[in-house]
Amino acid sequence: MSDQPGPPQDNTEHVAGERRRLHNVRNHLSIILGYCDLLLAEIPDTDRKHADLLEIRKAAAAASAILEGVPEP
Amino acid sequence: MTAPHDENDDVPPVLLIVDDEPGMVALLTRFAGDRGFTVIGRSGAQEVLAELPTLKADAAIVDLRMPGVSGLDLLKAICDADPSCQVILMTAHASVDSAIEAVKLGALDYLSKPIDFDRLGELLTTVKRGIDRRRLLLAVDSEMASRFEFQGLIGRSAVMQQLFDSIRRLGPHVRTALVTGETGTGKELVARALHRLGTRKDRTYITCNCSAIVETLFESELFGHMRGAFTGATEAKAGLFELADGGTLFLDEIGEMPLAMQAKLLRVVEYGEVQRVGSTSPKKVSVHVIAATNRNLLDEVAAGRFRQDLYYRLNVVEIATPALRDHPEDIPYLVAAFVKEFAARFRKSLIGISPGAERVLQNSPWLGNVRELRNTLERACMLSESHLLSERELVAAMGAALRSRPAPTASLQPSSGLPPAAAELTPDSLREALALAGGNKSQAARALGLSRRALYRRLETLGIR
Repeated sequence: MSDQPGPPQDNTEHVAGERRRLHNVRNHLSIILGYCDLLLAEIPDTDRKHADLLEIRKAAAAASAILEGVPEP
Repeated sequence: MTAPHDENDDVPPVLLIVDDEPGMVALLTRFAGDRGFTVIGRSGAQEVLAELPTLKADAAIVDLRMPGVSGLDLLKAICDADPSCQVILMTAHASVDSAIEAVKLGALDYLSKPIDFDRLGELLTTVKRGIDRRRLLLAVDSEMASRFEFQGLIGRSAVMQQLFDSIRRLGPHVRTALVTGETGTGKELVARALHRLGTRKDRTYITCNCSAIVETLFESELFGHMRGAFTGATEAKAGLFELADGGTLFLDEIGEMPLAMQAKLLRVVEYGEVQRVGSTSPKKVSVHVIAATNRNLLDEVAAGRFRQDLYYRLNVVEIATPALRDHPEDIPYLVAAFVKEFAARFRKSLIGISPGAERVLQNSPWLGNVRELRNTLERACMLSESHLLSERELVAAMGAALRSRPAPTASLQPSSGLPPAAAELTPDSLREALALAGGNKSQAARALGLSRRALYRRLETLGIR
């Protein structure tokens, strides 16, 4: 699946492409968040990597929250 | 997040993960692997459809939106292949409609992306507990079965416990006994149990199926013959009574024994004397005789087909084996024991049966009693491809049995309360059975509850061609 839609030929195709892109972004964010959670569970919070991971997670969660506000095309 | 690793997971449950994004599959694989699952990850839904039957997944996590095959279709296919497989759907687009449809179609739950891993962790714990519980139930049932097992017979019901009790009490004293009961109720096991609990447990135990012996060879089979006693008797041969001397002889289907033989049998039982065919001198033997029949011998006596004196000689000890419909509460224990046995024999990873299959088993009439139940489970276990025997596999196994069973005739109706063979075998009923079977004697014999040979004998006696 390509994330680069060509020039929209008609509206249906355009909407489908937008939806697909949104789907993929959510998917990728999900993966980032998921790995963060896995690592956070394994790394003790005394380790400074723990705090770094929390930062990554925060950013991914913020991006995810922005997407929540994006209406379905 | 915690990783609740259970101890009793010698066979980890199999979790199928399908998402078109390989990164997601990798993430979920890592997550579920930490929670005690064996994970099969796939990023193409189409390939999964093809290999579904061989995957044997206990649970699945499926992405709703994938190119080619939709998650809902895959959900349907998974549920069709194995209704006990629990499916969790996920999607990047939270939509109430598809969530409701998914649950209607049998999904366990519906997660939206980004995945809430705490929630997923809880779900996986629930799934794993469910699987462990079913495994435990089977283990408990089969442990119970072994506790309620007695000499190969299984039952915790009152009727079966009474049966065990009689065998236990009578076993050490039995010299002759009559075991009665419908076909498939375990008469042979009872006979063997009586022998094992008796004083002769270390001596010979010989089984003779009376319906399998040609009438003309009966005497020589049981009592032996001298050399040259009849055409073909090139060697002297000991009969079953001589072979069982000091031990026990089990005469199965004694109701099929011809009248002339019954008289000779009575003499052995009474005086312990056998005479080989062609010999003039009787020989002393000491044999315990256990006879079994699925007929009502009193009716046979009344109809002049069974000697009254032999009947009374045999029924000094009479033990009746109950029909399975009289103790359906034992079905779960029987099932657990048989599934365990066949799973081991066929090297299947079967750990139990699905609730649907359980219902089917509980509600079947089992006219062929425990033997029919056992045979059905044997076929079903052979067919089974998953951890739990499904309703579909069971019904397929039962279907095979139904197809091989002849159409029931009037004499086979269980409502009469009599075993089929106890139905009157008048010349008319024989002719009718033959006509119904289109002249096929094997089929007519089955319908009448007789062996083919026993039917031939009857036809011969009554002069029917």
